[in-house]
Amino acid sequence: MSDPVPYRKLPGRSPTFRFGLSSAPASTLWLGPDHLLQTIQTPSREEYRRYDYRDIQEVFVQVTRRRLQVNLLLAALHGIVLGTCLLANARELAIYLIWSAPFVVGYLVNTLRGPCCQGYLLTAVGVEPLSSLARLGPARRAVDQLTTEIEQAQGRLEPATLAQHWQRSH
Amino acid sequence: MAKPRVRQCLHCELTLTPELYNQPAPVPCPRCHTPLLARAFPATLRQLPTGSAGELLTNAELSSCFFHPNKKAEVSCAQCGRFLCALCDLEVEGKHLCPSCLETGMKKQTMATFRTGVTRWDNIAVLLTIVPLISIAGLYFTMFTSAAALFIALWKWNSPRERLVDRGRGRMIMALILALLQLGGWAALLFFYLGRRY
Repeated sequence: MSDPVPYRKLPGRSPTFRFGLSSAPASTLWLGPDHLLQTIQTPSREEYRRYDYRDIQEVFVQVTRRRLQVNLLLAALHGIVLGTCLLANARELAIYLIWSAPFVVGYLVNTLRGPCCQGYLLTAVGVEPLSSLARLGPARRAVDQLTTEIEQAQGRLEPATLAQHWQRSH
Repeated sequence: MAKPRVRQCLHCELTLTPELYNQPAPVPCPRCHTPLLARAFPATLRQLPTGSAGELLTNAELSSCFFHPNKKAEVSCAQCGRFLCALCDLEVEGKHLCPSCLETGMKKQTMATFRTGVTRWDNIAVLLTIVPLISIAGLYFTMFTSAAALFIALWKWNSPRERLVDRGRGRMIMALILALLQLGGWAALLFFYLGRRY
């Protein structure tokens, strides 16, 4: 059972706080010698999915509005907490600052981590969501590393060849 | 998360054009201007390969497949040695296996390739020590949950090694420390209570 570990972790991790905005399970991506390994974690299980580099047709990442949604949710909760302080006639500024601190940290972390995005991978048999590609910066680095591995296995596809193929197939 | 539509913008559902693919940096969608990064590879041009049906046995002196006596054997199973035709030959990690050995391997998960998942015993042990601490009522249960966590941590000490990635024992050590601290706390409480009573 003690196989050597030939995997290299790709940047990116699933959102820590989902606020019900994502139903995809937490996952990470690992580069193997000839395949991409996706680990899908629940509190009690870790499932594995393998995608051979030769079978991957497309990798797609697009920016979503999740960062704005999380900030708006934090603002709403912040407003409720400050409103409660006002109703309770809290006169000390320190009380507002203490109650505001976690929200300010939340805004800062969420904003500084960069735009949120959604990634997926296309093979001949289906579309697989890649929930670990949740922020654009790490997702770009992950896609670049993955592209290198896939192009080593498959070669490079020129946009002109892709355009010809799409014209023929449509 | 909604299932993404293939080759469409996730927001405006505009069908993507080949010019948007294989760019070094994210490019804006022509309609909604949301940045996207798309990479296509030669596999997208390929048709799915069809499987081989196996060659019919025409000469009685040739070896036949164990599972299909009327088909010519092309290779032997690396596990059990049975002769296999092209239909029964299943290549895994460079080894030729028969369907029954593959099934056994998948059930026992002996080869790393067959491993489709593992139980996260280390995470379960950590959760057993932490979750009861969330509420005051849960503190009373720590007597049992910490014992259970200690048992799991010792019984499944090597379980992180069954994983394909992230095989450290950090969580197991954390669970052990927390469980021992909680059990030590209960022992101290009991000692203090009995000391006062007698």
